[in-house]
Amino acid sequence: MRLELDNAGINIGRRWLLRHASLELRGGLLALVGPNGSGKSTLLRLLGGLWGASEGAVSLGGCDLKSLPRRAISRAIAYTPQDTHLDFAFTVREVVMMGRHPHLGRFEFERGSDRAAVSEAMRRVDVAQLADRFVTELSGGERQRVLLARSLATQAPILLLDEPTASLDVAHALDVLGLCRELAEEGKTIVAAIHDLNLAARFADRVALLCEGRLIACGAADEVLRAESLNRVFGVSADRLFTGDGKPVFVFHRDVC
Amino acid sequence: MALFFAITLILLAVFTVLGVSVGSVNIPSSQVARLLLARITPFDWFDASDIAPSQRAIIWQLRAPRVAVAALVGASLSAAGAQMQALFRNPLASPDIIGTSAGGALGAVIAMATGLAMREMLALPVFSFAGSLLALFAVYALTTRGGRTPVATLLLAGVALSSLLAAASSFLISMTWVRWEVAQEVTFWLMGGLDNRQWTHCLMILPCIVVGLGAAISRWRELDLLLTGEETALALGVEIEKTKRLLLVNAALLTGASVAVSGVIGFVGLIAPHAARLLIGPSHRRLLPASALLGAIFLLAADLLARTVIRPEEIRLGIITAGCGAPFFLFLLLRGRREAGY
Repeated sequence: MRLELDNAGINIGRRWLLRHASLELRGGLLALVGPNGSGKSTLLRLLGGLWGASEGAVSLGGCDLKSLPRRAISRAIAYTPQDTHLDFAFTVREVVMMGRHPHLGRFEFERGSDRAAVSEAMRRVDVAQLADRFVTELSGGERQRVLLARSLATQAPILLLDEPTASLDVAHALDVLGLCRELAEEGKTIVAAIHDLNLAARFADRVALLCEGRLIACGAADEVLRAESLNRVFGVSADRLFTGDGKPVFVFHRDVC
Repeated sequence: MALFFAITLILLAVFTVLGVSVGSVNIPSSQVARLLLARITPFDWFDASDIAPSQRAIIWQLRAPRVAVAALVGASLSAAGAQMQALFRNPLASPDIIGTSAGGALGAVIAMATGLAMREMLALPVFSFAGSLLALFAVYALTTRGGRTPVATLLLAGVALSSLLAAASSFLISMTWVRWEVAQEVTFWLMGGLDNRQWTHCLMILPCIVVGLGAAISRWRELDLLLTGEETALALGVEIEKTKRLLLVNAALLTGASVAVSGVIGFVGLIAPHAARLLIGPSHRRLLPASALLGAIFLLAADLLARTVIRPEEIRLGIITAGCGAPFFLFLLLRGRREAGY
């Protein structure tokens, strides 16, 4: 399913959080990178229809998001927030089952297919062993994986992930991005805000660079992530090295050259 | 879970029978149980023809309505509390603490002081519903920003609004002093109690419970999602504004109905949903019916206590519930301060 941004923007009061963003998504893993406050989360919320566009349009399969019923959008696009805080003691299985909400009618009970989707999602994100634990007792990283499982349980073809690796240790961060890679190869469209440029360069098909609410570049990782653009956007100097498998790795310095 | 509901239903039955049999004249529980069953079951499954007419009158005309009203008020205040806690995403929200009950009371006082309540049966419940709704909406609009309600803001707004509404009620009462009997009735009723409740009061509150609880239970998935955050709920297909409006109206309806039949009774709407959440978890599919059941049991027990501790005198019901509820509220507040830092 095609998701498209056409010259879209969002303002709050008189401040534009994002302007003139155009983007076409049709499969693959797109990494959003940029400094704090550059509009990554805003772009994800815009794509997920959580915030309406103040200018331009967002369209899903050719239809304006604003004209689609919310449940229909939710069946196509799954959004995983950055904030994983949960106050109420639901079990992990209950939280993941919430991902089936867009598929279930008001008076419907969960069907076998819903339970199967939930088990499969928990298995893929490696939280099956936590199924009966309370989410309030989990570590931040475990909660983040549970929320990812909930998004997978929706079986939506498009996944939007806001900092999916923010509170994960190295091993789990690699696992989660590896899973995103797998999902992208299975035909899903994935957009993830990723702070770690090395991870972004290693796993993404395309990288979009944001700065001060503008989408300034979008393309293959080694075209977008260049020393001069990183210098301009982040204000740091970067040495680009290459690992044995040809992937770029960055080493950053504060002294701007 | 089945065990929980079995035990609470048994407790509900036990306290109902106890509530009816204990009083200035004690009536054997077996007779009470038999008569109640004979009255509420169809055909002649239970035979109660051997019970003396005077006993029957005491059971069915005097005590049964009071016990039924107690159970229904407990259930509806707890269901209102559970829904407010979902609306504010805050476990300390409940009808009396955030001023919804005070709004209902002001509405009812207006209906009584103007004499409307005398002329029109439905004036009292309608006015107290309107009062509850306005008070709840005011607190919601004042305290909630971006779907979040800080505990301190909620409690402070509740305190301020409650005082303001109570002052308005007092003002109206003082204006009615010229008509002594009206003022006395209003004051007595404001303190909260179940004296002289009749079957008509049951009929007033019963439909509100059926609607208010039914509408909420049928949307249990939306309410669960709302607890996990508005953004997530929206992302998973919940129509946030519609759901919140429903919660607002429901909670006001349930509070208004309770206030209309029993005055202001505090803390039930706080204790019962908390106990229910501890026992069976936060999912509304189970939480809403469980809160209602526990609220009914709690108020039946409190009423029983109120009538027996200093027999033949009665303690006001509101005193008993505050005596249990206020320490519990302080405990929650202290625990919350330690864990969540407010």
